[in-house]
Amino acid sequence: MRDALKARVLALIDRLSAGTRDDAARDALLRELGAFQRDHVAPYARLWQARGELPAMPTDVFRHVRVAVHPAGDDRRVFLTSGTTSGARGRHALRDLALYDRAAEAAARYALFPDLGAAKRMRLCMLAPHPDEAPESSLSYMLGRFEGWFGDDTRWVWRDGALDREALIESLRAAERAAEPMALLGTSFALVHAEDALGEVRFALPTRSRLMQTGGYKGRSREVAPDALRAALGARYGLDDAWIVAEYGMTELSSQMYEGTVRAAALGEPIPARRLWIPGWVRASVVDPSTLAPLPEGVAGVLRVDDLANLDSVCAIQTSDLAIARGAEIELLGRAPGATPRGCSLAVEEALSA
Amino acid sequence: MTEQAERALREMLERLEESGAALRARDPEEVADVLARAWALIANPELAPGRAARSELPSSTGLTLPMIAWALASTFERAGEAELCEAARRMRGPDGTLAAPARLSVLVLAGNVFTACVQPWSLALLARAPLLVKASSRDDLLPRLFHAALAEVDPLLADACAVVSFPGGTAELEATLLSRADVVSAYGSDATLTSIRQRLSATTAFIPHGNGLGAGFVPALRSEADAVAAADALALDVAAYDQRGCLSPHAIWVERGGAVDALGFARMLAGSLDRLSVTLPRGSLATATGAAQLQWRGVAAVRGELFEGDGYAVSYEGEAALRLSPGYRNVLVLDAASLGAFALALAPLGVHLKCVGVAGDAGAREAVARALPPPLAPRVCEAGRMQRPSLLSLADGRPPWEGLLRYIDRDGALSD
Repeated sequence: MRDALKARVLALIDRLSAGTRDDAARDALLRELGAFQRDHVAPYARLWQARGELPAMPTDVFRHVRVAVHPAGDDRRVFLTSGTTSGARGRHALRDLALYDRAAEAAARYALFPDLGAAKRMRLCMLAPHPDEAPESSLSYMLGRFEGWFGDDTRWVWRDGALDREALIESLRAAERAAEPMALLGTSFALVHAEDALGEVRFALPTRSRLMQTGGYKGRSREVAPDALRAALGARYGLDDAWIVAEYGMTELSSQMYEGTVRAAALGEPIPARRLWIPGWVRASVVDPSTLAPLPEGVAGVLRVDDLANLDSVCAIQTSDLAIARGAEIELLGRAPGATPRGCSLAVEEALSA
Repeated sequence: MTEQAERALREMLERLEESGAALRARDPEEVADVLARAWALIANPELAPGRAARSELPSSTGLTLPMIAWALASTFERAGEAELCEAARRMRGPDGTLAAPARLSVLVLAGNVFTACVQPWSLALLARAPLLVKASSRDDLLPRLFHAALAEVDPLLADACAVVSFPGGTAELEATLLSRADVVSAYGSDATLTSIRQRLSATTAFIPHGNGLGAGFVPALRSEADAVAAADALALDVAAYDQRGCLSPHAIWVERGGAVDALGFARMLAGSLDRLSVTLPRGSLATATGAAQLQWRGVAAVRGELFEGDGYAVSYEGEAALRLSPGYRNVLVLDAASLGAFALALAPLGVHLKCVGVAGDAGAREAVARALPPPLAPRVCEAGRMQRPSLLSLADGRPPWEGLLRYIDRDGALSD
């Protein structure tokens, strides 16, 4: 059953990887996959019982119980969420990485490297730990795969938990000297650290260079509003705004979503508003947090993501991210600011995790 | 603009300091009488200040009108003249000493439950220390109403206090605010308190009221009727201020061996919260809070028994580790093998544990208080009274007038 589902998901990803859609096929497969997971993941069966058909598993659940179709002995890789003040880290166990890889490559090829032919590569500079240094990080894993699929002269400039400033400068200067475009990929907080470390150093990266930023800050750097950070990055690296793109991914998901600006710029199309493009094998909806009912377009709610590539855990994931549906795209408003009520309660999770 | 605001603030602080001479000349019992009459103006829904409070507080606080009315009534029943006079008596200090009030006190309210100003404000004036209240810019209604009520009852006493609000992070204004106080009492997150502490001079007393939470304990009760009463009482503690206060219980432990087990108690508690959702309905939920609630309830659904209804949820999770609630009437019920196990479960909360509500009699409360390991020093109270501390209740384990007074030690003094 699992292998048959896997084959069908792989086929659907392949069929939709050029950006086409078949929502009926996606939804039918999601229903089958969800039922399969209900039968093999005990916590999901409980949620199904409490919430009805194909409920979305809240991401917090991954911090408290194992969410996997298979026994722990069959884990090929376990991705962990970043540490939070609430202690336990969420665990996403995968039995194989074929679907993850296929989904990640297809989405990146579509949204981040649409101008790279199958045989072409480009310089990459990673502001994130190498997967050997952070084997539990899904982002590092993905970037490691990017190196294999898209990279030519890839540099990893975040080492031992800190920015290697000189390596970053050298990587960027090398691209300038060679007049070859490069992609700078990293977390928002690492990019902010680079901003702080680089001082007056400026770059003029070659045409068609691009920058992908992802993730929040989680207290690991000063926080910068997205528009302000983009402006600073554009000025720092000599990039037009359209060539800077946000990626949305989560440890609990196997697929990623991207803003559409780099694709549009690379293909010479009109630059769209900064909204997330949803791959065809993913269903993203915005729900009312109280009723769980989908909200109409234009109304802010909480983002739910149904990801067919989540074969061995649960395909329906309830995030804490606030968002608005805009046609087939999602406008992300940011992470809900945790569980802190307006009174003087809480923010004591540090104590609990101590 | 900032320069102008800074000058105005400095002048306000000077006026307050100057008002101290007249304030110190007042008899504390007379001050108690004035305070009681001023609070009564807001307590009374028939009078203009009381009407204003009830019409405007629902939108500024997000609480429903019945909840506002309950909070006002339950707060002001504790701020009557007798209690205020008793506070004044206790503040006199040990025999042979003379109370020496602060020249100027500052109270920083930061997003607290809306009645948080009542105790510190009353005690500052009873101590006869002029007071500047820095209220949250989003939620300064009650301080402003009280100041107006005070001016109506006794303009001279009103001159000894003032209310300001400005957005946090206005560094110059904050520096001015903190520069002249003998004592600063502040509510807020640990980050806010650390920031304030760092900006005070070495001689300024600082009374921090940091983030915190409450917990409930149900000892092994003998009868089902006792358990029903305990559920009703603790449901009120959960519902009060929509569980947004630092005294609000996030979890309730039920000791094994009683007439009702923890799962049964969770069911009873849900029933009690359901009834309260009619008489004291919950306020509306912001989307971000709803997102947090959705996560919390999702975990409850997969690892416990979840009882949810209109504006509340109870999750029974056996002996699982404490999980903090997002507030807004979402509460955990856990098994406790014994009182000792309960006390041990609370230990990681440290100074953040502000209140423990205990079902049963005074003996049960005594046993809980004695079982708590250091550094825990919460208020241990009867279930149903967690959100209704006395005016004299200790604040964070300390006398609530700390810093407002020092005492002159008079060798060989005649008794007053």
